[in-house]
Amino acid sequence: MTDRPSDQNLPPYPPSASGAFYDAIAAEGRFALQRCADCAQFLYPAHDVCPSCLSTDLPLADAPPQGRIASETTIRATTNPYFQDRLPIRIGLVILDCGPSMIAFLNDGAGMGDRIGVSFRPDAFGRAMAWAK
Amino acid sequence: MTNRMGKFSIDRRAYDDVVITTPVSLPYVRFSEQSAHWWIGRALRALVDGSGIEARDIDGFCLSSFTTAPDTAIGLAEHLGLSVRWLDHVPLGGASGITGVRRAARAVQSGDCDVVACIGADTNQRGSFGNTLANFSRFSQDAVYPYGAGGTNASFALIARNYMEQFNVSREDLGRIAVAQRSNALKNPNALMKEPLTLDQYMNARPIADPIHLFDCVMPCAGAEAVLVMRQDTARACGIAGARLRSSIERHNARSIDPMQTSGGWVEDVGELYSMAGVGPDDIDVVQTYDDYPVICMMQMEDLGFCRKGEGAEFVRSHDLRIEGDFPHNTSGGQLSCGQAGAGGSYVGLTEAVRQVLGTAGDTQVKGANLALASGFGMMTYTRGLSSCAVILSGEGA
Repeated sequence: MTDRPSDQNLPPYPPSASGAFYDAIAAEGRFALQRCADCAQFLYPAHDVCPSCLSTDLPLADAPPQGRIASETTIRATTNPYFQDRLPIRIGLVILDCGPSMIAFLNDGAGMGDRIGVSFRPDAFGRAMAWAK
Repeated sequence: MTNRMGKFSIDRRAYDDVVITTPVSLPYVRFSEQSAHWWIGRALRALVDGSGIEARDIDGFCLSSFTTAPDTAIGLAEHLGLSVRWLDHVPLGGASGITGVRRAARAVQSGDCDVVACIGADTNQRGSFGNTLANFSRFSQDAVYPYGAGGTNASFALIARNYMEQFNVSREDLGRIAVAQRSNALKNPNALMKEPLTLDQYMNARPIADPIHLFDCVMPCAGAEAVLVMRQDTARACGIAGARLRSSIERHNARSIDPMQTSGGWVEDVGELYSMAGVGPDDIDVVQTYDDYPVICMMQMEDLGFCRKGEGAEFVRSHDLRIEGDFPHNTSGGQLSCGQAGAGGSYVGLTEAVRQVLGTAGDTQVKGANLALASGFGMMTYTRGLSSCAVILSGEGA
């Protein structure tokens, strides 16, 4: 057991038990999503139940990372003090070829309409963050 | 227009003589040190004072609020001394008010209860709005909020950017909606925004999350809105006027919608909205759309049948959206100019629509308004607004 991290080391966003299993994926440099064992649908964000067939057998599986940036914005205001110090922040809505849509940080040069690949990278707190490149 | 019934659906029953009475809009404040309980209590008091119906004769209670934690409607019933035989808590954000009223309508129609107090209220203590954003939904916590915590502004920016490009909508087009609403708000003494807004000011405002700029956003505030729902005979016995509920719809998580939202769930049900009321879009005298952002108002003008999808920009260019115009829209100034009192914002269009058809809207009154449409929209739990609803109301003359 390690000591409980100080508040300064806690992420500046709510804890997410359901999303935590992506963190190990990000640390390994893989791109994987939940995939329904019964109907093969890829799922994101983290689900406990498949909305297509109501299966609860939803293991992680390597997923094709290609998709399209359907829209983007540049965040210039936030109520969160941590992110206030890091503005502006560019994000996009990516529709993956394998089905799910996801919010991702945009690499420089990636923008609306672009074909991109998504990867998970750990942020400063070890949480898996999606990046579009 | 579509009319998507379910596999097992039957024709819906009319609401017969259900009426909505006693519209209450408490004056908002930007920040309040009071609790949500205080605001809800003030709203209930105003319902009692306005109707002459005593609290002990209110036997139904429907509450919508983000800031009552750890209490829900039952805790508030105890706190306010209400003993009811029908209780509902509708946590549907901008769709709460209309959804709550349509549920209350069936309760009084069937006799499950007789008088329902429907209240939407929130406080706004410093920091409480950020707290609501951070804890809004599981999908948002997992996969939206950690991406810069842009809140609803960023999420609606993604929808707006795509919508504007796809349908050739300019910022000026959306500005027309905000500017007209401000003109309306100047006639509403309760509106928090007291200064005129020009299109130049709208265009030159600071960006928040492109293409969303300052005057596309609502100002979070504290306040309360409320109505009573009862049968017409009850209202007559109490000597109070009511707006007849002619039709209503609600829809959640409409699956036909593309992952990139360009319309709301209204498109599934809009045919039924008009057919149940026995009227068409051209018959509506005054329209109150849900205005968390002007782009969502434009989406509703299309989805509620006032023009076709993709024609919203041309529609706002060719119509005057002010009280005195040919398409009176959000006549109180709406949330964009009155402020957004949390879940109270879901009632803003409804209370104003009731006042309009009763002829009691004061300086914001549209002459001869007899048929009103009000709509709601809410719950951006991930990347789409999931909940939509609408009602058509008429005055005594219809």
